[in-house]
Amino acid sequence: MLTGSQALGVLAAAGIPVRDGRTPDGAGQRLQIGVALDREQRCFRLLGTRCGDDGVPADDLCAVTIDPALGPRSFLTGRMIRRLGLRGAAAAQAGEILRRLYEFAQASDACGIEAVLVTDGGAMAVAGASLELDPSGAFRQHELAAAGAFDVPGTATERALARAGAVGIEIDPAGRVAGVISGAGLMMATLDLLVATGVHARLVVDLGGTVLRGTSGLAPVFAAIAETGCPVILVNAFLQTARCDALAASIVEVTRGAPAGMRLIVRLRGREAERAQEILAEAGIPLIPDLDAAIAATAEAACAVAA
Amino acid sequence: MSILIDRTSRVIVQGVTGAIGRSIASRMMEAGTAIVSGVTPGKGGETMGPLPIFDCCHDAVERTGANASFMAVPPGAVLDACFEAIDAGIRTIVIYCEGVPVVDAVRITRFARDRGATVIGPNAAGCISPGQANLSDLADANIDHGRVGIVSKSGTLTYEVADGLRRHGLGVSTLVCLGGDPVIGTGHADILRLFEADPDTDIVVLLGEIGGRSELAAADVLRTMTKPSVAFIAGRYAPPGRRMGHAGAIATSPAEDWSNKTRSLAAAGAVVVEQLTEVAAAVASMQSRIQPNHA
Repeated sequence: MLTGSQALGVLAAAGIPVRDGRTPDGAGQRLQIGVALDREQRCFRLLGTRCGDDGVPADDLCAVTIDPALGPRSFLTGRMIRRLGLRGAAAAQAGEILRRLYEFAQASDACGIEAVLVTDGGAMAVAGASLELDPSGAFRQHELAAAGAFDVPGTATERALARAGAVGIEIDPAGRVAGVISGAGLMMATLDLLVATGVHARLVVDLGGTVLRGTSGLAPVFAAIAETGCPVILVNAFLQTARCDALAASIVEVTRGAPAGMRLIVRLRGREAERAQEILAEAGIPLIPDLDAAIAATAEAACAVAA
Repeated sequence: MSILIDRTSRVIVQGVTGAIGRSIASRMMEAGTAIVSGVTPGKGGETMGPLPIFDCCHDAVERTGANASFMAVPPGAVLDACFEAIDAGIRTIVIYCEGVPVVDAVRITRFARDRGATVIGPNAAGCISPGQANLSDLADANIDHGRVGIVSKSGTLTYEVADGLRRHGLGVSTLVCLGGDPVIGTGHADILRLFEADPDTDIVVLLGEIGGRSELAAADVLRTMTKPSVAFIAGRYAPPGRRMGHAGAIATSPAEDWSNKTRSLAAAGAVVVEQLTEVAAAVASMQSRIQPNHA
């Protein structure tokens, strides 16, 4: 998310008129406008409303859906501007700013823009803005990425896990269980099972692509978890593309120097799961194929370390 | 019969020379899916085992009659690869990779709609009709043919449910993983309509998650369906405002949270279970609604 002068600077560089200060000159207008993603309609919408002197919206929100094949044609932006009560040169300028904001969103992988539009010397200008950028676009937005515009806020552990290529969600700092899971859906479902069993989870992790990278992928994930001092780790994966035996070998490797008191519960199913069981057994780690049984074992371990 | 793909599907893998594409294509060949070629720009004329590789989808369609594509290209290449596939006449496309920019997904879904193509994904595990065709990363050996239709955003949740159904002696007609991104080409509701019309599907399993409104649109369709359904929504205990792994798994309004989605699905007639591990048993309890298999 970019806000304040940083956001205004980015918009100015894209050729959008901006000015500092949110107060319109003279008896000028103040509008809130924006570009927003509509997930369900699979398109973007232009939004706008008039504001009072206190900056509070004075009217209902106007919204215009933009067909991706058409883009923000003047008949679309013009309809919205008229509904916002602008006429004449101000209307034309505001319409042009809306069009440029939409084009900026498309070119810069912004999935949400909010802007305050005011009159400036008789002309319309953006006087405040926030830009929500799509992290998936970071690979092609080099300047914005370098400015940290795609950085996702999070705790130190979450950032360490993100650097490792995984997604970590801290749940409860007092929790005693870390869930290391392959897949976002299974991560959510595993958290639901843990909580329903009375387990206080410290954090959950979706391994993402790290599950395909062997020990080098898993090591930084476990290192980040180790930093939290979490005493119980549940690994839960049902693998179809990656192999359970490879993941088992990595688990053995990365937990070799783990603290003596750490409890590790491993539940693996899918491709090469039988071989995974052998690998884990050689290292003295039991494999629990059944998910409910693995959750119960995790709850038991959490109780044991709490005692 | 099945939905989206069947014995007549002629599959290509775009990005077949990459690690993922190669792995998926090999598995499809081993499992007997009618994979007819791979596509990688600049590699036309090469082969991967018995599989010819073409430079572009138009060549693949012209030479092999391809009509379905599993797309295993990097995020930055997805937009052009998808436009190309749709323009070449391919009508069912799975976008496998994660991290496709939302603005690209918007353009892809618009073009697909114009041309009458079905896009599954981005960030989708794909779809499989066991015994007929496999346009997914799921291993054929792990799923039995049967009469339960599954539609899910998540791939890993479907692995669990298909496995659970197998333990109850039940199989799958078609399994569709829609993808976890904020903008996806096909929603739960689209697939439910297809299952309702499919004579080989008797019961439907809907797997959803917090965030977005696909499950709410599905509830509207469920109200009109004659076939029974079981639903599970993941993310009940997700911390508010957090994005839970999938880019689209974030509840930005109360309507998109677990409570409202489960309430809406239950009101629409679905049997809603609270835990993933309860799905298969709930389906098994409806076995009287399942006709004997005639694969």
